[in-house]
Amino acid sequence: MRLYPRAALLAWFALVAASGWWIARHAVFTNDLTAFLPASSGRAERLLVEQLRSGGASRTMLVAIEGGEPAQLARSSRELARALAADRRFEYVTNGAAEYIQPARELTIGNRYLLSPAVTAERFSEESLRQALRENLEQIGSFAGMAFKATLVRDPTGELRKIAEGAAQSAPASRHGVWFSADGKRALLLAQTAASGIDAVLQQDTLDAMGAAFALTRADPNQSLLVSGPGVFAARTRAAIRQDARWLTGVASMLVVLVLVFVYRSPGAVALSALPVLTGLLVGVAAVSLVFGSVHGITLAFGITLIGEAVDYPSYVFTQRRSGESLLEVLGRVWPTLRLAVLTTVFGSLALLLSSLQGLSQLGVLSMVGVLVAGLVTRWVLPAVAPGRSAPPPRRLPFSLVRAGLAVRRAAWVLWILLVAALALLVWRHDRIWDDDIGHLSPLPESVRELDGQLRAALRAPNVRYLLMVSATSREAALARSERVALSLQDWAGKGVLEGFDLAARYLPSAQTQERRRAALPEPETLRRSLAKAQQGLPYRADAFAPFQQEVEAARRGPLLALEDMRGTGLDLKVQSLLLSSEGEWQALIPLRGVRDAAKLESLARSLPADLQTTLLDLKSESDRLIGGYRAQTLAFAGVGALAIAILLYAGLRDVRRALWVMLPVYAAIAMTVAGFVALGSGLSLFHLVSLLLVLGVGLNYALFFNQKEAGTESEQETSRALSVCFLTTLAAFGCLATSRIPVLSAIGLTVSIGCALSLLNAMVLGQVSARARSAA
Amino acid sequence: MKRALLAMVAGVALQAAAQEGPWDFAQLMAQLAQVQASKARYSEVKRVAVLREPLHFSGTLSYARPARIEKHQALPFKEVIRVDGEVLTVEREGKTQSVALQGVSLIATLVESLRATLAGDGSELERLYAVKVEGTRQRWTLRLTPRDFEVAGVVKSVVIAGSGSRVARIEILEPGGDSSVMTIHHES
Repeated sequence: MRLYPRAALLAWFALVAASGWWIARHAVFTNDLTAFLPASSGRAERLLVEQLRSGGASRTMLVAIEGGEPAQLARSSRELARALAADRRFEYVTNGAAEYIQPARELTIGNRYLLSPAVTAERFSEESLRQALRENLEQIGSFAGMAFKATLVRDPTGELRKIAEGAAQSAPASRHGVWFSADGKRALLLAQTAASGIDAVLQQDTLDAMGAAFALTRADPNQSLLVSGPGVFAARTRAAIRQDARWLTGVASMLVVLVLVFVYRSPGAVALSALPVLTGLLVGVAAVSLVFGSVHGITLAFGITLIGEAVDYPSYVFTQRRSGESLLEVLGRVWPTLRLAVLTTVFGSLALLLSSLQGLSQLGVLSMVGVLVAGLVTRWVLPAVAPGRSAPPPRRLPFSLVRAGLAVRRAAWVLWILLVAALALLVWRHDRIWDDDIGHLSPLPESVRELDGQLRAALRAPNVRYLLMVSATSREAALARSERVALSLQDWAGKGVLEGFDLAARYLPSAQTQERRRAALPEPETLRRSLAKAQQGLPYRADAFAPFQQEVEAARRGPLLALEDMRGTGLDLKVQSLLLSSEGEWQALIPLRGVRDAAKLESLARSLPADLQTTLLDLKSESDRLIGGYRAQTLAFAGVGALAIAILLYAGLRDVRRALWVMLPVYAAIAMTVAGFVALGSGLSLFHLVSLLLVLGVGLNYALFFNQKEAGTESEQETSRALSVCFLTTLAAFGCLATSRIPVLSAIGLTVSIGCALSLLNAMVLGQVSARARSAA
Repeated sequence: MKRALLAMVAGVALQAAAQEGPWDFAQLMAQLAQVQASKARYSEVKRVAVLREPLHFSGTLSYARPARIEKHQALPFKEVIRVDGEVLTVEREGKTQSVALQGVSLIATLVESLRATLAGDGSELERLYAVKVEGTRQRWTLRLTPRDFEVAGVVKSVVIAGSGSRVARIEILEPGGDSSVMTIHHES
C-alpha cells in the first residue's frame, strides 16, 4: 500500500512532464480558421478556402477617416497613406492621390495600344482618324477641355479614355485629390495587408500598427479611424471572444469554487478537484499536437468546454465520502459507475474524431484523451494525494434531489407529454432545425457588418458573393478564356442582369489579344499619310501629332505587357488576386458586381459554351452548403457514437432495460432542448451540436448515478449531493457563458445549461419511475 | 445754408476720393455680394498650342443668388452648362449629363473661380485659391492662383477683371501656355 501512492504519483508526474515537454518543444499553435473549413474535394471548395486564406480580397482593409473638415480629412488621408506605404505590414496602400495612382497610370499610358479594347486596324484609317480629330476639336472647346488636352497630342484616338471607361466604375468619388465618400464626410483608403486575412493575430498586429500611425499623423484630434475587411473581422472576432471568455471564465471559476468550498469545507479537496481536468487538458493538447502537428486556437477554446465534464469526476468521489472513509474506499464503491461515465464520453467523442473537418476532429482527440486521462487521474492519483480519513466529511445538504424526484414522480406525465410534443415539433419542423448560415456564426454585432457594407459601396469594392471561375491549364489560357467570357458578361450587363464585373485580363490581356492589337497598328509611313489626310480642313498644326506617331511606332516594335512589368503599380496585386493557380491548374476569377437577377444569371452561365470551362459560384450558398455538409456528417457520426454508448452501457449494466432507462432521460432532454430552440425560431448551428455532445456526456452521468442505488438507502444523501454539486458547478460555468454577447459563446452556454437542467430533471423524475417499476416487479 | 451745401459737396468729394483710393479683397467681395442676379452676353477666345488659329465661342452667361450659374453657348455649337448648388449639368446635342461637383475637384475649383466671385464669397475663394486684388473700385483685377497641387498642374492662374460690381473679363492661363479669355458685354 505504501508503494501504490508513490507509483501513482511517479506515473502522473512522468505523464505531465512528457506532455509538457512535447508541448514546449513541438506544439505549434495556429489561428488559421481554415481548420474549420474543408480540407478536400471539389474545386469550388478548394477555391473558397484559397480565397479565404490568402486571396487579395481577404487581405484588403477598407479604411475611412471621419470627423471635421474635408480639407483636414484629406490631409490626414495623405499622411496615413504615406505612413502605411513605409510599413512592411502593408503590401499596398492607396487613397486615390496622384502619387499612388501615378505608377498605374503611367503603365496604362505606356501600354495603351496593348490594353485598349478599341484597337483595330480600322481605328487608324484616314476616315476614323478624321472623325476622332473632329471630336477632339469639340472636346478642346468644351468645359472639360483643359484636362483633356494633357494627353491629346499623344493619344488623339482616345485609347486612355476607352480603358478608363472600363475602370471608371470602380473608382470612388474624389475631393481634394483623394478618395472621399459621396457626402464628403469620410476620406477613404484601401490597404492590402501582408498577413493572411484569416490570421487573426497578425491582422490584429497590422490593425494596431494602422491605429498607431493614424494617432501620430492625424491632422485633427476630432478625427476617428474606421477600418473594415475580412482580416479586421478575424481580429475583432478573436478579441471579442477573448475578452468575453476571460471575464466570464473569471466569474464562472469563482462561482464554481464557492460551491465547492461550501460543500467540501476543505481547501485541499477544492484544489484537488482541478487536478484531473488540468492534467487531462495538458495531455489532450499534447496528443492533438502529436497527431495533427499543430493545435488550433479554436480547438483549445472549445476543447476546454468539452472536457468541462471532467470537473465533475472528483466531485462524484468527494461528495460521496462518508465520515472517516478514505478516498480509495469511496472509489471502491463509486468507480464502476464513474468508469462507465468516463467511457461513455470517450465513445461520444467518436462523432467529432471521425469528422473530416480538421478542427472538429482535433476537438474529438482533445476531448477523448482529456476525459480519459482525467478519469484515470481521478481513479489513481487523487487517492494518493487526497487528505486522509480524518478530513471533515462534505456538508450535509438541506435538500435531497432523490426525495424531490420521488415527490414529483406523480407529475412524470407532464414530462412525457413535453417529450411527445418536442418530438412532434421536431418531426413537423424537421427542415428548420438547422441554421447553416455562416454569417450567423459571426460573433460581431450588426453595426460592424453595416459599416463594412457602407465602406464597400463607397470604395466600389466588390462584395464577393457571386463570381465566375474560368479554369485552364495555363495562365495564358485562363486569360484568353476569361476574355471570351467577358464578352458575354458585357452583353448580360447591357440586359440589366448585373451591374459590372472585374477581370484580370482587363489589366493584363492575354498574349494572343495583345499580339492581335499590336499587329493592328499601322506602319509609320501609312500612319503619317492617313493622319495628314485626316487633318485636311481641320485647324490642327501640321506637326501637332508627332508624339502620337512616335508612340504608335514604339508600341508596334515594343514587347508585350507582362505581369513582371506591373510590379509596384498595384495592378499586379489586382491581377494576382484574380488569377489563382494550384497544382498546375489555373483559375481566372471574375467577381460580379450588383447582381440583380440571380436566377437569370444562373441560366445564362449554364448556356456558356462548355469549352470555356466556366462555373458560376455563389460563395454564400456554397459556404452554407459546406457547413450543412459538416453538420450532417457530425450528426451521422454522433449516431455511431450513440450506438457505441448503448453497447457500452449494456455491457456495463448487464441489463437492457436499465441501459435504456439510463439513456432515456438524456436523449429526452436533448430532444426537448432542440425543440425549444426550434420553437423560439433560432436554428441550430455546428456549435450547438458540439454543445449537445457535452450535454450527452454530462446527462448520461446524471442518469448513471441516479440509477446506482435505490432511494431511501444510505447513499441517497450522497447521490443527491454528488448530482447537486455537479449540476451547480456546470450551471455556474455555462450559465455565465450564456450571458455573453457573442452568439457562439452564448449558444454554447445556453445549450449546455438548458440541456443539463433538463437532463437532471428527467433523470430525477423518469429515472425514479424506473426504480419504482423495478421494485414493484 | 451755404455751409450745409459746402459740407455736402465736401462729403461727396470725400466719398469719391475714397472710392478712387486703394481697393482691397474684402471691399470687392462686399461689393459683389450686393448683386442679386445678372445676365449678359459673352464672347470667348481659346488659344491652344496644337491649333493654328484660336477657337471662338459666344453666348450668354447668367447668375442668380445664391448658387446658380448658367452658360448658354450659342456658337459654334449649342451647349448649356448649368451649376446649381452641388450639381453640374451639361446639355449638348439633346443629351443631358449631371455630375456632383464634389466628385470632380478640378472642375469644381474652376466653377468656384467664377461662381464664388459673383457671389462675393471671399472665404470660399480663399479656400481654393491664393487671392490678390489690384487696381481701384472702378478698375479692379482679381488674380487667383490654385492652392491644390493637382489643380495647379492644369490651371496656372485665373485673372478676373471688372468694374464696380460687374465682372468684365475672365482669363484662364494654363501652365503649357494655352489660354482662354472670356469677355462679358454688359448692356447699359
